[in-house]
Amino acid sequence: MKNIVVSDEYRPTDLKPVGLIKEYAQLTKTDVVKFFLGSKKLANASCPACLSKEHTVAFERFGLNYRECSSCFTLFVSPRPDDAAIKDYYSNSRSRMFWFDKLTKATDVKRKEKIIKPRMNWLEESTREYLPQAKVWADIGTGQYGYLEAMKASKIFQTKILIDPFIKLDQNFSKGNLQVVEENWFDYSVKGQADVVSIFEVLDRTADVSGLVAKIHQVLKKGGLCFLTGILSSGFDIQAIWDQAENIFPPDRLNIFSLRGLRALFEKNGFECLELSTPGILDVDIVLKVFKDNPKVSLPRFAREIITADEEVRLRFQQFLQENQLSSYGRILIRKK
Amino acid sequence: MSEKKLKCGIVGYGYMGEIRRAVIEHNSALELVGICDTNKDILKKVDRCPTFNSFEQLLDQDVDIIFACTPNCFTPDICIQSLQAGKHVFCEKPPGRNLKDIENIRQYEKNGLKLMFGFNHRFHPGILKAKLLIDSGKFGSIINLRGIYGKSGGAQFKKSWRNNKAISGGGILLDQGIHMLDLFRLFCGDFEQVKCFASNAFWKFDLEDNAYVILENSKAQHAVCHSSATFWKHTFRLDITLEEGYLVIEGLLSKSGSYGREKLVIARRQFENEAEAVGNPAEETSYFDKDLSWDLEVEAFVKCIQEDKPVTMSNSLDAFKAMEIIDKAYKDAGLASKEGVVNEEHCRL
Repeated sequence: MKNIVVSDEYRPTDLKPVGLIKEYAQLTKTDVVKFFLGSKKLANASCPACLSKEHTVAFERFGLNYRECSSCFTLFVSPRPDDAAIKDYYSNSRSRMFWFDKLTKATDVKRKEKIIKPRMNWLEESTREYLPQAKVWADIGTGQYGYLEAMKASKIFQTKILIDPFIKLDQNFSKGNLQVVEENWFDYSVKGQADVVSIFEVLDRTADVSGLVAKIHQVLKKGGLCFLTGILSSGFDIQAIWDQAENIFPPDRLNIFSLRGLRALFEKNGFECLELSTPGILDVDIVLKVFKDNPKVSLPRFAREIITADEEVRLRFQQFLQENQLSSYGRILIRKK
Repeated sequence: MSEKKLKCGIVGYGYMGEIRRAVIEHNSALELVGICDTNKDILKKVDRCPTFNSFEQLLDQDVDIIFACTPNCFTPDICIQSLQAGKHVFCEKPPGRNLKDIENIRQYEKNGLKLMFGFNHRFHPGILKAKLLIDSGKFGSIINLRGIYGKSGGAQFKKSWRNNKAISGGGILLDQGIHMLDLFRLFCGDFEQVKCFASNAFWKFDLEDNAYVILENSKAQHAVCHSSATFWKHTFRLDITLEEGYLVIEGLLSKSGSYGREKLVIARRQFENEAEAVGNPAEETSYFDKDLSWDLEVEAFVKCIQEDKPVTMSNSLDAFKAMEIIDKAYKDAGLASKEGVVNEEHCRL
């Protein structure tokens, strides 16, 4: 199994401008109340990774409780809305409109350069490495314009399918060779179709995680590959700032898996891990920002020492986090057995 | 219906023989039917497999493939006799003691019989990924290669048959450096020009303990190899400079783990925009934790037999070309080519 370490330079604000993120969080807070809290359909959940029923309340966010699994230390919201309610939220909430209309447009250039391009390189090069005969790529739920363009431009697949009920295609957008299936993943019934499936940041906002994992297994051919990314609770910034984390709120982060939990989830459901990496760039900067915004914030003493050290030390520490799979940004490549 | 298993015999049950046994037993297409070694003490320790103390006895068995895992001086005879007896041959590197040995072996290569040499480094995960990236064309052409590969010797090093010229035919360059030279050929093809300095400054054998080889080919690509038996820290590093970036394979997954964690560094050059960090580009490093090289090379060999296709990786031409570079290097370094007398006792060390 591989582990990837990257060196690159960008700041949290390159992708999440402070003002816009604050506004987005505020809108989300209002929408969470509107879409979820009034509903009687919130259901108690077990750990989405290891299914353990043992957990403790970690912190509250927007009226919903994050719980920490006592077994694998995954963070997850419980009680939680179901996927139909989440679909409704992403289709109709003001915060989602804001995300598409303002946030993604404001960060479009950096997002393409720092997120989408490396992701595409990873997907294409790993496919060449592990499954050079791959022809069909299905993406579940990553529908953003910059990403769609990159998907269209990819030349190594004959068939590219986007399964996403939330994508709002502009009239001027040419689908080209891209098949867009405007369905939710749980309604998609095709079996054994894809050589490659991608789910970028999708597991984080899925209520029925076991259902999605089973769906990936269903859609993939035997030996097929699945690329996924997400935020990890085992990462440095989340462990250090915990309930002070500004970028953790539902439903975008309904689940924040620990690395061990995520690995176990796939290995017990018919997959093997080919790559398990945490190539995050921003852990130290995120903690530093929280500290600068509020110097009285409660931080582990050693974490405070690291984030206030020289830039060279901070960079080396970030590299150490990557090398030891301790960053909070995870990317995982699995293969259907 | 499952395909009939190919029956395998191992000749020479030292370090490599044991590795090959594990590979054979791990491969569902293969069946181990005999192990041969002239050392009776070694044979006594062999379990779950018939043993033979003469190669001819093993050859008389119903065997499809001979795995030749002996010291270099025995390699030509084992390969030639096996091929003459109609067996496929998988032979450890180096392919004999000198260029003449591999030339002789190649004369007996018959149509239909497969002959492959154990250049397993080609199948290491870092090398496989690097080759894939280079072949994709995304990084442009190779400008140059720089390889360092070395070990420290050890308490038994002086007594090892590897350092007895009559048995091995060459020093560290032939024993270990040949892997690096083979990788150079894998990435750049043949090199016509060969320069070399060599010394035996520390170990004082009549064989080199350090060799510094510089190569040039018709595409004006250059490669530099430092092969050493005085690297007190075991080292493997291959730098590949390309038009659009660079790759570094460092560390090598091995039984002992002494070469460090195998990793591949990938970077693209950055000087289009002078405001960016020139000379310090963003890098991506892949760490590998599983060495399948032994299995993969034998799988490739078995596939050639099953499908009756020519051996294209680590074939006898690859072996010959690697030995040709070493031959030129030794000549350029002024190393004498006189052969000594083989002492059987030494072969067991």
